[in-house]
Amino acid sequence: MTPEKLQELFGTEVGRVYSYTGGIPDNTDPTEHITHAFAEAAGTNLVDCVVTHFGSGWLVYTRNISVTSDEFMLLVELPLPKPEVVEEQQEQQEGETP
Amino acid sequence: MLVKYRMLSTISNANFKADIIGILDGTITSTAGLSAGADTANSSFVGTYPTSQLTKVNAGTYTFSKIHGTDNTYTHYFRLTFDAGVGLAAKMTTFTVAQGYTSGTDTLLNSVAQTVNVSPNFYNSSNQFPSGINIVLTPKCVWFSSLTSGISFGLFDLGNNGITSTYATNMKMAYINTTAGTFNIPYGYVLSGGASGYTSLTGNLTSSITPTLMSNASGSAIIVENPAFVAAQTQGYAAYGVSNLFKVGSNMFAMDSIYNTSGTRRIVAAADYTIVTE
Repeated sequence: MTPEKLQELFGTEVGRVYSYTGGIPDNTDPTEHITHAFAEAAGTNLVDCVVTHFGSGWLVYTRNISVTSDEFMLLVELPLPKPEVVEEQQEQQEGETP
Repeated sequence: MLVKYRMLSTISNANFKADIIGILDGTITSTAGLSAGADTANSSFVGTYPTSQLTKVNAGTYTFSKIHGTDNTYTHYFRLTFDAGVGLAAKMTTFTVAQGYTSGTDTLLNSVAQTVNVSPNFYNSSNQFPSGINIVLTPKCVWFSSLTSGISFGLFDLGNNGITSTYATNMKMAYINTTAGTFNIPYGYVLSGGASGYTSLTGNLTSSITPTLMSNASGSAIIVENPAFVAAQTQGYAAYGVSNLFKVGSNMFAMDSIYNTSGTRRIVAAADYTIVTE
């Protein structure tokens, strides 16, 4: 999933989206399991995160938490930077106005 | 229940936390229960604590459950965090709303933290708007307002729509910033073709139309209240009615003003929204 699509889905508030690469044991609630794994990676149970399933993968969205773990791969930091080329185009368009 | 919580200049961080948590968990229901840092002479409690809806589920992390006021099959959660600021520099820093909760590990599930930064401030009767912290606790909402901290916000029940009927895990409560006029549903179903699924939804409050002040046959002013809605583009603008939140006419009231409709108090937030206090 592209960064642009992730921003479309999760919005433009400051946040991060991780992909969960670990396993999920049978008969386990995936949300609970991944949240606990995320809390363990963050080193605190006071985490805020949303666990969700898109396509074939599990994603974790968080506003405030940054983790470094083999089980969580950072996909994107939101919001995405605005492309500078758009501003240049706007300036050109403004300059062309009679 | 409407709590007008007023504070003294001598308030401590511990006083502030104890009062806020005590009001929220229902152990403080009158000014007699407030801490030594509260201005009890100028504080007040009106109405009834929503015993059936609010429960403190973890005292150490200030985590609460809230049962939906009209659909008790939905329970969602919120958690407060405070910093270690001294005296008037104390601060309630975040208000985190969650779809679920695991009690064994005290972990919120599908949660989004909102920065609120509410600090105590001492009451001064000579201010144009004597300020403090106002708190509304009803079966359908939990709401805070602090003029001096520049924010009012709460957790409000949402009504049904086609999304909640089809995707029952979609939350039926929202965090609403009634100063900025924005909302967040931490766990809602986004419709995006093959990439559909649950995400965190944000957007702006909407109202059908801004009402105007009218008068009746006896010349009394009639305050018209319209419902407030939240709707997200990623859900095709499926609208949710917001319980206990109304839109009133433009610039009719100053923030924190209180008026009655059929005997039930409403308190005014910024941006012409009012909150029902019972």
